Amino acid sequence: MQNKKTWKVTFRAFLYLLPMLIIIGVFNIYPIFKSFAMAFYENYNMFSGENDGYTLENFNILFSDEEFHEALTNTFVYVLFVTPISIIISLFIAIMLNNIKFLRPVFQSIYFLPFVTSTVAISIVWRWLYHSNYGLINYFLGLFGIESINWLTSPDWAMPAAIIMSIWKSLGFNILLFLVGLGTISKTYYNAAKIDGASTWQRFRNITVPLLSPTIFLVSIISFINNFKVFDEIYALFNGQPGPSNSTITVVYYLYKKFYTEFDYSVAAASGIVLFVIILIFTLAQLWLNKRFVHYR
Amino acid sequence: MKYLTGKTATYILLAIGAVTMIIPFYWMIATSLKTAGQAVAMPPAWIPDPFQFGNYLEAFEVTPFGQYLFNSVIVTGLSTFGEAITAILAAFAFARLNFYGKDVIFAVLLATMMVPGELFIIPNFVTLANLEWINTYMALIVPWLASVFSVFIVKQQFQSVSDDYYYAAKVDGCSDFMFLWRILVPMSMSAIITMVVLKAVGSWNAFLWPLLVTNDTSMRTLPVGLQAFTTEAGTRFELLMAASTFVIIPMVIFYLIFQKYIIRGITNTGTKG
Amino acid sequence: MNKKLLSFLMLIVVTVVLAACNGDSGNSDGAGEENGDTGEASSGDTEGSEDGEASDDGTEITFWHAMSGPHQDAITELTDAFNESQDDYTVVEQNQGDYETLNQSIMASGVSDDLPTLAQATSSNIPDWASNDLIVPLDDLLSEHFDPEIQEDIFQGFLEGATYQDEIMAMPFSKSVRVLYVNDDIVEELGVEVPETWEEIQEIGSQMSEDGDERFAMGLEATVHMELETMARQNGAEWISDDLSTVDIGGEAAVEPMQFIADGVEEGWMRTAGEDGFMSGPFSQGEILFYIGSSAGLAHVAPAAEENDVSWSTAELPVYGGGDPLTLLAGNDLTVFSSASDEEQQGAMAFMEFLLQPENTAKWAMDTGYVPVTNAGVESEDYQEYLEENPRAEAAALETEYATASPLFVGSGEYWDLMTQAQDNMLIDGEDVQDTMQTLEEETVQIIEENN
Repeated sequence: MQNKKTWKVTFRAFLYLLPMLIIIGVFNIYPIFKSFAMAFYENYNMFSGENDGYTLENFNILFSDEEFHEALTNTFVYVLFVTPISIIISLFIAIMLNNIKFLRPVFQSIYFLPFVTSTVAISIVWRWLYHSNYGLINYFLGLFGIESINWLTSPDWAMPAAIIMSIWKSLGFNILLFLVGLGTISKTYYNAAKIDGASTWQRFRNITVPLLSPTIFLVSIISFINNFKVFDEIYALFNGQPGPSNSTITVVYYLYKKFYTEFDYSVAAASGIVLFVIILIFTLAQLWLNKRFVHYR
Repeated sequence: MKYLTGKTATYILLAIGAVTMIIPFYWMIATSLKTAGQAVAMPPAWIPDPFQFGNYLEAFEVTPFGQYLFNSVIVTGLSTFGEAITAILAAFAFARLNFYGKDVIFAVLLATMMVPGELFIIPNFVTLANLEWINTYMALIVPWLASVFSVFIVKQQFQSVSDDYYYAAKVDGCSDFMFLWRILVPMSMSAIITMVVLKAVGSWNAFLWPLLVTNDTSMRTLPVGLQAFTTEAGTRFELLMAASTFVIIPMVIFYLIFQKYIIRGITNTGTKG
Repeated sequence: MNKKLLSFLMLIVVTVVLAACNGDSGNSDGAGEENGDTGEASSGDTEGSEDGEASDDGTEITFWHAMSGPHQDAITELTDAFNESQDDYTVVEQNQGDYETLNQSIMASGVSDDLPTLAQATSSNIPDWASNDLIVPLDDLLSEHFDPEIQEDIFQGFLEGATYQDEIMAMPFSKSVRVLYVNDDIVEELGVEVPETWEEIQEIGSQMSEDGDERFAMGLEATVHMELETMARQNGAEWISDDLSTVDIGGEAAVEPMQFIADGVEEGWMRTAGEDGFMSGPFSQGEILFYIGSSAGLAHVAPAAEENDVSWSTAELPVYGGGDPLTLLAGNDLTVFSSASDEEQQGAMAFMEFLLQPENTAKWAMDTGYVPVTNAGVESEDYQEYLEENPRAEAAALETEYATASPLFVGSGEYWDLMTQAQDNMLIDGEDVQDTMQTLEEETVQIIEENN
């Protein structure tokens, strides 16, 4: 960072930030305050704006709701599986893509396809892959003598099914970001390391990971945030249901249900706040780790 | 020899992965050419028989895709362009300028990403209604002219460009603003193009918001047209997939055009080293 | 310094471009010939409302619906016909996605005071909207601005389904009933009769299982609520009484048919659509002997079944436990919003009256697969002719006589979710039917007490 912190620079900086700040302020920050306020009103009527003052009762209702506990647990399970696995696989694929020349554009385009393919097509195909009788996955498991699994209709397997599909679906996006990061690493490092006789693993450990750490950090923050907010994947895979026996209900699914089908917007907003706090804690932890381990050039 | 086996293994792994990536896409196109019966057959037919190109014609008849396409191009084009501008400007401030409140502002921006968007819908709708923007292009474009995620990506890339360039530019009498557009942006094309592609795809496929803030058919975008094939009793998959294919082809082409910039990455000499 | 200015200029350029687009929208509206009548009508009306004076077309009535594709075409046709038939009102029909997004649109515009004049509503929307005073009771409007002959001619069950807390909150419009889909090939092959009771189905099913027939005798949609409630009520249960005072979901008359379904699934001759989504798929593949589905699904089964050379027909629903025939109504009704002016509300009534005229309700039914909502509609020449040409639609038309609705109450969305969950618990996890239904009853009572 080159310049000293002065009011003059601050003024200039705000000119650069202004267009973005206006939009984010009006369409992100303002609605956050609006909806957060909703969580603290007593007997709030969204249509008339009437309420009986402030209360913490909505949080009380929320925390005593068994379904919300389930939603929290499911969300954690989902996030803790999807995020790291997806990051590791996509990092692996990105490095492989980065190491080849022949056919690279073809492969790269193919890995990007799930990102543009219609969500409906994706969910239908996965529903078929998971089909207990005709599904390809059970067919392959059968080759190894594994009995067919009721991926979509068994409450025990619904969450793994959602996790596997989500990992698959998130790859294209993460790979793309990793490729951008890998593009900034100069080949000269690798050449030097090769001359020194460093093994593939050593090169990965001592060059790629440290130099890519800002990108890994970025991808992990974004993945954590997005995965905590999971809704679409579940909704699409289980055809508008939160899984068999409610087994894949997530916090945002809960929020959506409370808000739009039960008109319980105050409780919905309260669940939004709880989720926000959880994500915030996670992100702060990552920022702290970032300060300690991420290597900024 | 060892080198060769390593390469072969890489290609084999990539090919296996590629197959799993391509199945849904293939299935979408295959289904778009199937008959109604084949489309719902279990186990599914891999190859349509016969090829029903008529599905595309039928799908086109159901909704005014011409008008939708026009709107989609306008909305995606302008919002992507606008977001790129706001993101580049903001990223520059975060990456290159040292100012009061920087950490706080960045933290607040990051925090906005942590709130589920499902809560924004109603307040934002009310804001747009107060602005009398409902059922106009403004409602479809303006709320999407900035994204924290995009700022984040571009900022990260700007930070990886060596300070030396900045000083060199200063010596040459280049202002901050010129430095940003003449040097920083061209050097960060891979990140910016990536951001543009991600944003454009997201905007192109957006469904709920465009539907909520518009009322006239003449203001609707392509994804809205896709719902015409679903009824209470089921979905006409072959028509839906024909329409879906039509909807995403422009995005695939868009990606292919810009892919080379993503691959090229940043000029190697450009990084700090 | 001027570089900063440049950055602002860029911003202004962006804004101007956008503003230009905004202005353009009006023009492209009018020029959008592809949109045909819809585009023209709406652009004309926008001008009218901007000028703040009534144009020749009279008061503008906005009508939000969740019909898309061919159904939307049918609505457009009826709307145009109404607009041509009189000069006092102009109805502008606008699609708002599916029912779920329509509900979100209503919520959002309810908060920002931009509600339409009338909208389609599902049975769970009506109490929600009514209890938030978004929609008006129609009783007074009906007595002042509606043809009593038409009103009296509406099937009794249909109107009951639009009544909330003793007030008529909506006008029946797109109604469907449940019918039995029959695979005639298998019927012929097995030499069985089309069943009138569930006992007969059970007999056929058990026989098929015994013979090692891998096909299913009976299919149900992914959620079995409607079939269960239908069977329970045929069996003498109240289920949820109209005044919401009695809930006997856990009673013997309701548990019995649920046990029957669970046993059938267990024995392997009955199945739900489950992971297949809709039963129309497996049925059109010839894997199912009978299935119960919405009468609105006729058009859906036809092409695929034809392709697979499955000959099929429909029949009235079988009866459980020797009770009277009964079928539950599904679909949606039309509601009028309280934010509309008196004139607009009257216009909405005029429009609804038009839609319910015998030839129009018949036309709507013929175009979409719903059933006519009035007796005169069913008996109209057009519809009778249609039934002769489409015998598969007849079962639904016959059922209109005894079709009935479930009572409306706030919290029905939650109740439906609990039902689905309970169904999974019983059919997938094999939990005890009696206990689960008992719990469901308690939860339902609680939901009703809390919200109503």
